[in-house]
Amino acid sequence: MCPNSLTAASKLLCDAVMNFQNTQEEITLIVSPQKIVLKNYVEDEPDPNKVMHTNLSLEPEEFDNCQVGVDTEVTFCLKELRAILAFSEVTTLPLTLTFETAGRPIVFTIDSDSTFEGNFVLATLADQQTQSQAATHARTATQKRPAGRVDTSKAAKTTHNRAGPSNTDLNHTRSSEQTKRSEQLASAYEMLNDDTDFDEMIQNDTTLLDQPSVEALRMAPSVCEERTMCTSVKPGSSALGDNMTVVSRDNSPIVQSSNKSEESPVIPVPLMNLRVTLGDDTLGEDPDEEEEEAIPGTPPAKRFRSLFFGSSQVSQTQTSQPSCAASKVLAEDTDDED
Amino acid sequence: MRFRGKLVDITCIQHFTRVVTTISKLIKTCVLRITPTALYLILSEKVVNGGVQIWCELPQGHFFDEYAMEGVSAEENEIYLELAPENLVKALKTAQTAKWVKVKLTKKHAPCITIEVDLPTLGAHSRVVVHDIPVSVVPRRLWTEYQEPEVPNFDVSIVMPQIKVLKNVIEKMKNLSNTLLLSANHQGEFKVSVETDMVSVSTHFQDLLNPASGNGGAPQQLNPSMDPEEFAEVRIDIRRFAQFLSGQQVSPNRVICNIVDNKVVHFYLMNDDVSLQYFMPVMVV
Repeated sequence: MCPNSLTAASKLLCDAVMNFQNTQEEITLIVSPQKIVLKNYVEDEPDPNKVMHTNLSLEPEEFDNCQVGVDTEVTFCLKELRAILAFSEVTTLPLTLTFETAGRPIVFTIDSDSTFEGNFVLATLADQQTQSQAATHARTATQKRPAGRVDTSKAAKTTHNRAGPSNTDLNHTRSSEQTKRSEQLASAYEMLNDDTDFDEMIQNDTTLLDQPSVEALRMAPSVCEERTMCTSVKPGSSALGDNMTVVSRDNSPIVQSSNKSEESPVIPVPLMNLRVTLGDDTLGEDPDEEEEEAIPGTPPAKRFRSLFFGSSQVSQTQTSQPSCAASKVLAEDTDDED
Repeated sequence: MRFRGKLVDITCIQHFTRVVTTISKLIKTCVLRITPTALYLILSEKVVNGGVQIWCELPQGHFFDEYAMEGVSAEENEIYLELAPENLVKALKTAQTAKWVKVKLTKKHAPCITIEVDLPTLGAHSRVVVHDIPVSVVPRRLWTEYQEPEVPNFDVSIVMPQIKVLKNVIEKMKNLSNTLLLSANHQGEFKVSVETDMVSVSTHFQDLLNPASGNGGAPQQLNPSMDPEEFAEVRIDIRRFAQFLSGQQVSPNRVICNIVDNKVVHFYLMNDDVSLQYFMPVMVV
């Protein structure tokens, strides 16, 4: 699924990234089994020959884990990476990068096993050669699970994994899933209205014309399912009523180690549609539609249909109006261009 | 054309960075002249530069542990490259804790000055960052434009007061007027003043040295008809002067100011072996 995976101490990446200008927008990561190279990404205009190029090589041995399945080059937003590193360095945990090829998203994961897990998903530039094809959309739309208060760093959405006692209750028919989802959306909406960090989160996202960055919120399927079933909520976090998942950073007795096999892998789909993954099921749209929309035909629309702020007028050239609420996105594109 | 130099000593690297930073604060692009004995950062006097002329000489032995160059030809063993000093500064900034820095002339996507920096690491692996700074080669026929400026016979030559003190004074005067009157005489007196409709403000410095020579070298012919008490004065743009003063990263041993009345003002900074000459345009009355 994800052929490339690198794990490194945050410090290694911090030191590497320090060598690039603070004003540098994007960075290119080039991997091969022999070495890993970081380069500043230079746009085609103005003249790339007039701009300073910087590159830095790292050896596979410097990484805790280096698995290169596919030799590839991915370009993503350096500013977002700096934010992620700022957070991960504080945790002193290693950071894992999983990615595939240009155009496919790159995921940065911080996992502290018992306490929390952070996943940051960034979009990568679709086609390194022909920049005119901006295939990746500016944002992945995934439903935000009814999560706890977002009070971690701006870029992070940490999920609290709970494999609750009642995993057997995962039998849902499609219709009940739909209902549940709209309930979840409603509750998420309420919750987000209160969340002051949300605005910050929107602002933090720097989207550019061709190299958008993504903040996708990971869905922990088991969490959704057990929304109504979990009774023990950490005291003090009950601001969200019965939204059960809380970001808890200490060892709470109710925490159980995440049952990884239950969760579906993150599918940070660079689409307009919402993807809610429960177990191995995908709600809503069928796979065919997904395929269609993944094909980049024209540059993406800059405006996203926001879940909360109403549909934007700009239409997706390749998608038809999604048939359900799943097409709305949670966080609006922060691009200032109108 | 080839050039390869290596700086190893960290103080040399830092000093080099400071000098280049000083230059980068004064000008956007300049010409780097590479000779077997020294590097020069040159801005030639052109209308487009507003009459500013800069000549900075960095003796290579002072900075480089290894230095090798091959000019355009055996007779003209020099290289002239046009570049933006700001890029050099950006690259050198990553080298402030480096084990060594290599500077090379290369041809990548375009002719470049490549700065390779070896950074210290915890483990056994070496970490090398490579910066490619695009340059353009100045053809030989244009080399005459980049010669060392002719230093005229000055009317007055004086060692300026402390840069820090002078900078504070000038910063305040900036608010009053755009034009600064700079004057000095043979008796160690130096004066800066601004004049507006309502007020005239001047700051006087005394007991300064009058060196025999305008550039710390051989004594030159100072204008003999000058009365020692008489002031030679020039009008300059105050913002440019303030920029010059505030850009000084290297605290020079001394700054010599040479004036030809109403015509030329020339600043000569000397620090260790590095010398910087700056001709500032003068507003002729």
